[in-house]
Amino acid sequence: MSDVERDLRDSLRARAEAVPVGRADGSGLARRLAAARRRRRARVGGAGLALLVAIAAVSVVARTDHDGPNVVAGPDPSSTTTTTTLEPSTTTEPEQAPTTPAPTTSAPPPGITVPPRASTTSPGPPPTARTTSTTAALTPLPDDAVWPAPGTTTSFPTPQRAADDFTRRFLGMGNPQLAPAQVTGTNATVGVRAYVTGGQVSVVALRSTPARGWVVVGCAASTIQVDTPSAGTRVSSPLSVAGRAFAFEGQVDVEVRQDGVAAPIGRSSGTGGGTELLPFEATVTFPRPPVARGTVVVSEARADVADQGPATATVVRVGF
Amino acid sequence: MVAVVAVGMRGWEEIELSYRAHRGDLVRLAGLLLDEPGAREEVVQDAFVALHLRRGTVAPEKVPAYLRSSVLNAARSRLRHRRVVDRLGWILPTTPPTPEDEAISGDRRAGVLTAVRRLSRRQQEVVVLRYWMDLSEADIAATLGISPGSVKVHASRALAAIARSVGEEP
Repeated sequence: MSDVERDLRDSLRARAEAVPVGRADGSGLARRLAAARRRRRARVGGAGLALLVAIAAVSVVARTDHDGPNVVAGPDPSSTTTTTTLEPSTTTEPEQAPTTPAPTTSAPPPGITVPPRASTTSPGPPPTARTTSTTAALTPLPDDAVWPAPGTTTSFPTPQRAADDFTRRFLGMGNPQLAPAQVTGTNATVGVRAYVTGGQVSVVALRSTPARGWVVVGCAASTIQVDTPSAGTRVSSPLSVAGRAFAFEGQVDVEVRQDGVAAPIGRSSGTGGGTELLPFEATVTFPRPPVARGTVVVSEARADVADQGPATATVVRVGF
Repeated sequence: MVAVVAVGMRGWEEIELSYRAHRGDLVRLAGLLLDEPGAREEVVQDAFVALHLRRGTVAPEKVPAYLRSSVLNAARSRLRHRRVVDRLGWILPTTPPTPEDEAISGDRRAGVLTAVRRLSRRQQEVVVLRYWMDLSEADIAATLGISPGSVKVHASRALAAIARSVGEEP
């Protein structure tokens, strides 16, 4: 060690020892926690409203561009429906009323049948209702389907029901608030918030399949952008997950899940921005999965409760 | 404390135990990087609050690095927020000297600290973590979220700058 290094060490030690530490203040710690929660609730409320407006704008563009065939979303007519509730064959549907009014500024594109929307007070299926399902002979899901879970016979006749089941059972949200589905041909998006009173929106992307109804093919939060891995790529351990994030204290959780197993097979965390979108990177190690496909889930934890799933999440379909 | 109980007493008790165990060093770390006496304890408390909010997602062996990283990030944010972008506000206020400054004896040490104060923020962080906390390059890299190679470069350049400032060869 050189003289400069010795002086540096001594100087810093002397300076640090001179910093008054005082007594531990446990009540101050509790006050800081309460304040952090208040700030977070206020922040996510504003960001959620902004994202809903953005979703409305995207929806207008998507509908304007649509020139595809008259595709009607709904259950596969060949499937054997055992449910007692029949869904109307529509491309947009009256759904569970969102806390924030849904965008209604766009006219339906040519060829799309849009029935009169029910009153906004019409609740549709209750949030806690089990998803309407069919028990058709098991038809393999497409490779890019995140939900329903592979190996199950569940199928969803509407994108709303698929998104609701996905956010509850895959993401673990306790009481997700769903906006009406925005359907463009065989594709649809559904905005989801984790909070009843507001908050950021995660957009669930879905596709209608002939044999299995609506399937979830991804989920994206505007505050969590995942650059790597990209959807459909093959990954292995150790996996570097990178992108840009704007989350409380900049912290995002990263999970790797394999098809058929609810619990993550690997998890890590990264730090992005606390006040703006900033790059994050996390490395996840996981055992070699016995299945060919799975997902990478990057999420922001809720600050108020621990067992109600994430506040927002971005889900990327990957292969192993 | 009521709000804390609602999120799980067991988790909070663990945080409080950890807080009592680590806060001394972390307050000193904040004290080296912030010239706001009142802010030191706050940034440390915020680090523990963030740890509590992320309970279950930070591996136990990574908790010290997580806390250090949180304190450094919070210190950076505080300075940015206050628009104190001049480096004179980073380590040790320039004038007037505080009792903490006066506790440091010798012109040479004062000169070293003045030189540290003129370093970039990243270099200051590396120097403090290396020469005060005695962290390894790997631990510094984990704390700052940079590569061990970058730690080496920052440390080398910082040392060279300090040596030049006090008139010595590095």
